[in-house]
Amino acid sequence: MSIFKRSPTKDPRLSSIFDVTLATVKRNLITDWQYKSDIVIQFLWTVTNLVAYGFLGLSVGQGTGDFAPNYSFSLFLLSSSAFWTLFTGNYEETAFCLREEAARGTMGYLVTNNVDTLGIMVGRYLSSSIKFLAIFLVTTIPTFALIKGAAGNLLPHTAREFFMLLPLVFFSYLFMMSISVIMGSISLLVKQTTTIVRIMLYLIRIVGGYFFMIESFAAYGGLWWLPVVFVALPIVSGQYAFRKYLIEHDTTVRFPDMQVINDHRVKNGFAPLSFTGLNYGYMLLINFVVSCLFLLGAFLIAKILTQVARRRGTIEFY
Amino acid sequence: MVRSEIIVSNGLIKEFPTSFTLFSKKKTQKERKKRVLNGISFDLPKGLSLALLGPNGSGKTTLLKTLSTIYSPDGGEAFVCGYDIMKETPEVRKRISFVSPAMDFQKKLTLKQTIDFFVKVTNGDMALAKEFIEELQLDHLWHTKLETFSEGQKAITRLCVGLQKNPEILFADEPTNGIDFRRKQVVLDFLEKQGRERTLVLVDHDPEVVDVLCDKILLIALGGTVKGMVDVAKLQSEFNYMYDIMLIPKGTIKKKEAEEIWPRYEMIGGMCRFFASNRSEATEIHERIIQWGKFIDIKTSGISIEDITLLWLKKHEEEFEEKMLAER
Repeated sequence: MSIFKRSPTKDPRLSSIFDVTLATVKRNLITDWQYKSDIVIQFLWTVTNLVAYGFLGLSVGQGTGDFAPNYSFSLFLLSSSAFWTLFTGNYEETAFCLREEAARGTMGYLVTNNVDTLGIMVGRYLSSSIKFLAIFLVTTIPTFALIKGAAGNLLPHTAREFFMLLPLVFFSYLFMMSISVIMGSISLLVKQTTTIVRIMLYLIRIVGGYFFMIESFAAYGGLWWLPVVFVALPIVSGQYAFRKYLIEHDTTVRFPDMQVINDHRVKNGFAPLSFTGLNYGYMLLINFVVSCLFLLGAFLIAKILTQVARRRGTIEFY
Repeated sequence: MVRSEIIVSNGLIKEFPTSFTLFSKKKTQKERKKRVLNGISFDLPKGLSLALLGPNGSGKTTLLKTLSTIYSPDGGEAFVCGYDIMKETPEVRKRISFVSPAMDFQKKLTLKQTIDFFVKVTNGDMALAKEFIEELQLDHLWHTKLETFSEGQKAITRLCVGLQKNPEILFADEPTNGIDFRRKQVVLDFLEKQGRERTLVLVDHDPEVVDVLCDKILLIALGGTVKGMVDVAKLQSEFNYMYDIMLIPKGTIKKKEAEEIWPRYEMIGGMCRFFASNRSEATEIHERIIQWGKFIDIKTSGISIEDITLLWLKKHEEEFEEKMLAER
């Protein structure tokens, strides 16, 4: 029977968010693979970052300030760059994916089919993650091994260390997914979001200890509590643990323990209440709770902003 | 609430915020908004298809997008397939599809990959999509990337994406735009053949598309109000025109003179517009004008369905006013 003589489906059903996410992941992976030059450019961008931060660190040498790491600043910055290779690209691609759908003119069609904007954003985040994990593996790990002098010194550490690190990086991943979804949702209302997305990235990097140790905040009068608050963000403890893993080979149970905060340089009376003095289990629990809260918040924001965009008529405009 | 009409619109209002500036002198909420649809009311019985016509900026596409749940209305109510577009949005979305000429695709994906994506996200039917592509003889491009597709081939892909879901209502904005003559006929034939199973709601200025596919025309005026609803069959029987011959006379032309040239005419200011149903009538009008001789210029063009609808409405203005008064 021809399509034109077939009766419309009597009991129509909508696709679930899971189906949408899977279909989006598949489409993005195929498309990304087709744009090989883009992958090369992203690879080169990562290498450029590593070179820039590597040399910046080398030129600074080893700091002598109260909050300087006790190893070369080059290693400090390279570990930041390595960690963020896992999140920057997927964050940006997710933040702009709805804008791209709008530019292609497919938003209207997707909306009328009840396709969740959330599914599209999460699908983009997951597919981009695969691409940037590959870039991470072929750029930052060898670079880091090279800088440290011996690849054997870098991996695998011990299986125990690795599996202790993994959940913290995973919670960082979830946290960045929620931030990406929030930024992507904003693009439903505000079309020129490039600068907003970059500002947010820099803010998180500053807070997360990309450029300097977050304990430095304690050096400024009255802000001793800032690192304690920040470390509750999964991306902060993830970055800290990642750096410890790559540089210090920390194998203590208190893996993300930030000893510096607990010592005499921080306000008297702070140490007993120190959040960062918590053991690994508590740190995981806090990371889990905060990740869930951010994800929930991001999903709610996505839903609300989609409704607002429908009302304002900005949902499919680029 | 389930109704017998496929679409019911009661005083539908849609407003868009005008651009916001920090130092705007506009203070009230009302001043910051532009009303695009201003109380659109109409009913479309089941089994009939509708064309939305009106001048640019009258809100046709906004109405199409509001009924298809892309935009949420700011006032009034509307029921599509018996479901409230505001309160039962997912139920409406299960039963409709929306196709826009602005819809483009990932150019690096093949036709198959593109259709596959839309089938999955809409819970559509790949077999139906394949059938459509085969019917339109595009199956040889099944594994070709869309970057090589012509505008017409993309238009067919858009229609395929809209139809693969097998919707009760297909909302489409200029669905045959860009499709070559031969394929356009095939598309129109097929869409016509679907009979009364699927309702089409179109925005299209092409008289051929409206003639073949639509039963009714909803004419929207500037300012987003309904000017009238017309039966295409009635329109065709009363105004079966294809050409529009505009006469610019030296000085003025009297009604009697115009009638002598051709009985079907309309006076517009000092000019006169004659209507011809076919090419030979158009030639005859030309000859008669030349014979009459008192003219500066003659301009001939194809007549749009919108023009014909306006003529029909003009003729039946009193009847409409009475009807609207009665409704109030």
